[in-house]
Amino acid sequence: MWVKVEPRQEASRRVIYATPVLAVGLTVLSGYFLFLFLGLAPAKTLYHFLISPTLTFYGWSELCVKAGPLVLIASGLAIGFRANVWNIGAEGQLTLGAVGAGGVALAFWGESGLWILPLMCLAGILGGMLYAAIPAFLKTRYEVSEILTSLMLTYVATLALGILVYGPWRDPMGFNFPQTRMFSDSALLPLILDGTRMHLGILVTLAVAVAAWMMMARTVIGFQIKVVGLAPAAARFAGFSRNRTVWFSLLLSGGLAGLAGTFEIAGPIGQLVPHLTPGYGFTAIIVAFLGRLHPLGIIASGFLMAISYNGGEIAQVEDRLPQAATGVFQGMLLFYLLACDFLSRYRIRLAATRREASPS
Amino acid sequence: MTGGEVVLRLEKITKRFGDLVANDEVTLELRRGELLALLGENGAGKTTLMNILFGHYTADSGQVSVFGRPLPPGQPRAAIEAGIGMVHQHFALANNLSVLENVIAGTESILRPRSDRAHARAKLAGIAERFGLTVDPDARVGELSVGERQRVEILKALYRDARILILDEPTAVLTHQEAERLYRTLRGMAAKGLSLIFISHKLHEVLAAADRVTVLRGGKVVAERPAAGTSRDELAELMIGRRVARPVRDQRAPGPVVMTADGVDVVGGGVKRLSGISFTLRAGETLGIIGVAGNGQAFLGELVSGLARPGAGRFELLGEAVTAPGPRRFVAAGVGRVPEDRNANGAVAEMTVWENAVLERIRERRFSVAGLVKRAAGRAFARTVVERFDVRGGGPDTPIRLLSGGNMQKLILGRSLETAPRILIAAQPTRGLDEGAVVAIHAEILAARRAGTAVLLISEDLDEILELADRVQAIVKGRLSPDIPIEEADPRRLGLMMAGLWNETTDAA
Repeated sequence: MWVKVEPRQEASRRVIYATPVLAVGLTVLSGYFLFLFLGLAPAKTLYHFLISPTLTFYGWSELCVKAGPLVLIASGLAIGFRANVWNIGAEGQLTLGAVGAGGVALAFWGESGLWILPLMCLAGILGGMLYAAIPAFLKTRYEVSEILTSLMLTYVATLALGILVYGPWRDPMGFNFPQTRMFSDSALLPLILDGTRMHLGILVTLAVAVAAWMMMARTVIGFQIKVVGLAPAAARFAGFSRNRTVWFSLLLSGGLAGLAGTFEIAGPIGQLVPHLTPGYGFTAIIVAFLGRLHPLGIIASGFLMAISYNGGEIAQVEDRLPQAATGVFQGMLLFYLLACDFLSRYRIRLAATRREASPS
Repeated sequence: MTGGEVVLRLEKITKRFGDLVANDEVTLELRRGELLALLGENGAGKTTLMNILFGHYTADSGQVSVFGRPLPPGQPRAAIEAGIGMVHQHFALANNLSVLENVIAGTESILRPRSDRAHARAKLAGIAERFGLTVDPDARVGELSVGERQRVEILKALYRDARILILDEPTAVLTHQEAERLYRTLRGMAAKGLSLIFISHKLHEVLAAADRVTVLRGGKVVAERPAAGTSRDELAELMIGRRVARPVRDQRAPGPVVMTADGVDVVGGGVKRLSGISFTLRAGETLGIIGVAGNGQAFLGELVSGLARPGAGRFELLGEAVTAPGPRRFVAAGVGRVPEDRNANGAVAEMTVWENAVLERIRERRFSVAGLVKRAAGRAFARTVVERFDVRGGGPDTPIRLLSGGNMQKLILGRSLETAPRILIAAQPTRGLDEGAVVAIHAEILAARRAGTAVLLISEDLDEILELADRVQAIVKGRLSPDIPIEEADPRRLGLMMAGLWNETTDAA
């Protein structure tokens, strides 16, 4: 027996857009059996997991709150992925961005002014960019894989945040809890709808997604990113610098992750705590791929991932589904997506005889 | 030689791929001791036919018989057992094994406790002796020359008792001398009773080597001629399906010097890739650089395209020393560039025709303002190039990967020529292209030269150099020979120069 992997002639556009749908379908199907084996009522649990989060207006507003950071981060990552720059460390850049913005909020604690929020955003973006600059430097100078460096730096970032909130930045009135003071009102994002947690950052995120689309479709830098990602040798021949593209992609995705971190602490959280997100920086990778690296797709897949977070919580309460189920769902989704992508581009053939086999 | 028994017979072979008819009722006969050339452009169906014969594809209809017995379709093993051997254009050899190990690989069951080397060695020596295919059986394949590797491939087939040998573009990677030697060997093999088919699109080789020529066009056999009873012009016309006027280079006096290298080194990856090369390029003339693949052409191409930094020596572009090169700087200075590997370097397969047309110039004001791409201008430019250079297969918004190699190359050449460059760098401009595209590309290069462009033509193809160049230099192991005028060049002398023997040739001349 001989397993052969052959490229397919032509993956049609329809197939490219059908694979995410197929992947979602397979994930739901697998989820059904997963819940069955866990001894739960699969249909009811799936209902809580996938449908319940979307039944109320408040539910939708919460999906926006969750989808916001995912879409913001994924928009940046997707641009890097197009350039073949694999920033896996958005979680760390988000954390450092939050540290920068949180530092500003704490430094001007008790003061008020319209300049505090913009300054926090600036500090957040810079924090994320500086942290992404490390893998960029190592990649362009020493050819170190940015996949490894950006991923490992994530854990460094989490520990650095821990030092701050357990140490110097701990709330003096906080009964020794590892968290900073609650930020002053001037350091908090205004809400865009009363009675919800939807904040100004969500509108900014929408604007960023549209701007990202404009950049990829209409600008020279977008053109350069596509060329460098699709054909590095042709890019070099035509005079597009790979190193500049690496720097640009990492700084952009790092900055947006830092901004997402800023929005989290200036929005729903309102202070710095040891664990800022349920892994938005990593989930955003799935969001980017599920959305076909396209801004509109990213918005849609951001909502789907938000459902998996919020639905996971509902099912946890209603059906005693373990919290890890959310992670399993997200993991399965990425797995099926990559598998469907692969099978849409290659076919696997089992050949009974080897080519050019010959008698001895 | 054509009076022998029929050893191989393909009868009314038809093969369709979707709507495309790759082979349309192809009938072909090969006799014992015959050397048959299968001639046709890319896409004429030669390779499909051979793949059917060898069992890699199954024909939709038709019958293959070997030595009078029908061959079961779709079984490579049956083809080998029937005595058919195939030598592919791209060798399938393990570089870190010896010649003997390569030859016997796959012929013994892996369950045997030990291989019978002595027996294999004797058999190989016998075959090598009989057909004049001398290769040291203990040499590592990685250390052999390309010509020797090809001999190993042939030995592999003969070791498996092939009596019918099929060679796919066997001279694509050989020098003139090596090709002549190969054809002498093949003739010798035919004289000893083997039957051979070789696939080619090189007309002069077909005429010189084959007994009989079968011409395929559009999947059909359009003609069969004895090699002695046809001509180059007739074969070209049969192959392309229309009369082709080969462009002719006219005499003209060269203009001012536009590019010079004087003792230039190029270092890549810590190794000296070009050492002390010197050349002078003048407006309105074509300087040909001939050489066997892998002798530094790629680095020369990088140097003159603005990608590689000149080390020692002096490299001048339009009278100014180049110290900090760059593709954009060269393009802006009026250097049109056709890269050696059009698929990897020349074009971005997934992008459209217009995006590829403006690839090198997207930052110029005509194609972008304030970082925004002027898509309409890009499309208009692409449309002009497509029309002027007869690029077929799609408009500005077609992905370039859907174009044939020849049309892609026309676009790459056209995007440079459309801007009337002062210098044109053409590296292997017709490699792998069919005759029709070759003629079109050659005509454009000659037209550019006539318009006063200085052309640097880097090529492995002797015919191309002889047809286009005014002066020739050979590149061997990163060094350049002195130049000779084309009037003094012939295949024999160029072959010697390509082997690095230019001192002898100048002494002789």
